Amino acid sequence: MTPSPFRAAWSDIREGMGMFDLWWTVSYNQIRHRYRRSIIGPFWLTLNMLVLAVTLGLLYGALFKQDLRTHMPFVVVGFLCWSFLSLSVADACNTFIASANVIKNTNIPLSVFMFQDVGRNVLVFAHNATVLVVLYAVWPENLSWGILEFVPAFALILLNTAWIGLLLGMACARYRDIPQAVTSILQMVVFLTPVFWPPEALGERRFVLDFNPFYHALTILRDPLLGRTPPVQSWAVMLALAVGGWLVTLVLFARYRRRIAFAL
Amino acid sequence: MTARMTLENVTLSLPVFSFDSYSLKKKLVRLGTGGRLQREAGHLVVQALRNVSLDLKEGDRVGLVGHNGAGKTTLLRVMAGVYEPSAGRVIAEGRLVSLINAGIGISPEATGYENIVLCGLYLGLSRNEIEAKVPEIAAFSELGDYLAMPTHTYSAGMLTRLTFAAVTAVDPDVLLMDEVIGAGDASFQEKALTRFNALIGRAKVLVLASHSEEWIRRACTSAVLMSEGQIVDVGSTDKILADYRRMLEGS
Repeated sequence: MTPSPFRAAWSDIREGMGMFDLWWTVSYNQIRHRYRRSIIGPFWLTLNMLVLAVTLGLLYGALFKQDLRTHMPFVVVGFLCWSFLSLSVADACNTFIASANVIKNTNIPLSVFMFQDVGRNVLVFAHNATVLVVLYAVWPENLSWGILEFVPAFALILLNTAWIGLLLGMACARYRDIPQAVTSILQMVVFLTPVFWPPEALGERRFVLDFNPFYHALTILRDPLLGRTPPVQSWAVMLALAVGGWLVTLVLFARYRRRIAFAL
Repeated sequence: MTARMTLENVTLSLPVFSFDSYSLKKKLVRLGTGGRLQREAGHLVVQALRNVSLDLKEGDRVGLVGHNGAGKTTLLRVMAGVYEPSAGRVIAEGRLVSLINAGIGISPEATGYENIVLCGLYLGLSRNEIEAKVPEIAAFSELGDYLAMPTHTYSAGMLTRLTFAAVTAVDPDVLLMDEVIGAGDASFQEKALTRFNALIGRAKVLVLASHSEEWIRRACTSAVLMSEGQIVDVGSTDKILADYRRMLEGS
């Protein structure tokens, strides 16, 4: 008996997750090898982020006439979290394309490549997150027990980036215009999302942010790191996205999973 | 675990997406090599396999022969579960290892040791299984201290040694191979041959696609002749190889 496509898709994901040894090793190697011959290694990621965040924090702080003491941590943490979100979405386009050679020659579960990307981006985030140490040393008032809320928030975001990895990965393997479109959308979204500017700056038109999922994702990640409690509404949106996204992804993954190899 | 590889009336239509549909004017094109090309719902489709049936059980060692584009690699991919047939079905039992592309998972930035582990993980071994095999693989490769260096520093021959040593350490029930893996310089070839024979000896079912008559004769007990995605004939290696030679001369 051939199992139902839905069951097969589900066991692909389960088995893929189970191949932790493989995807974690690959994630880890990808980061390490990228910086193999550099002296400060993956901390280039951190430095790069710090330089950009501080520059933009100063610039936008001046533009929006913000108090640097509150605005700088807001931008640094915002940029830290935004980098993770945008990198996850951008990489999702290449989930399967980048591993075409492996996919066409072995029968390992396809979800492995998604977990590999998620793992790598978590590692990048972990390196970037060392800026928090500097931040809390300079502005200790941002650190509170509220930071614990970051843990479930990050888990919820990972749940979302996972389905995005499968769904976008499939779509991009078939339609090669999508990666280009995603890049261009992300470039736009960074300005539409309050990464560098405070939401209050929108005044009466602040409600438009409610329709921006990146705003909610950013909020539940950023607020706990700044010692604030994220609004329940943002939690609800991300939770709904996770459930809805996974449902759609499971249906499409079940239907098109076997066709991914054809599109590569 | 029992090993089995059964194909029942397997047909495979491969969509070709990277093809400019406007440049193909004719409705149906037939080329000298490769499967039939045809249009289906706007995009180009290759009839890569047509009505292929095979029933391989424990002890079967089959050679796949046919000219380029006859469907040998595609058939291996269907057996490996990479391609799902458009019609018909595949029943596979046992631990399957596909060496369709032996260099899989080899990363030039990783060291020899890291690549041995990666290679094993990609071939479906657990970390413990592959870690246990590392000393033996390392010794066999004779690469010594080079194993601690990134593989982009290797010569082509050294890389072949590494790949060969790593992929031949697996214990498959069903082994699918596309051409015999190269085995480096003359001094290495003899021990490589022994190791290769041991590998195919461990496999309960072997399917080897090759253009080398010598290897088909040496490794297989029977053979399958393919042409344009179809099985033309099945029989003893001698008979099939003679058929194949006649087919090449005839065309």
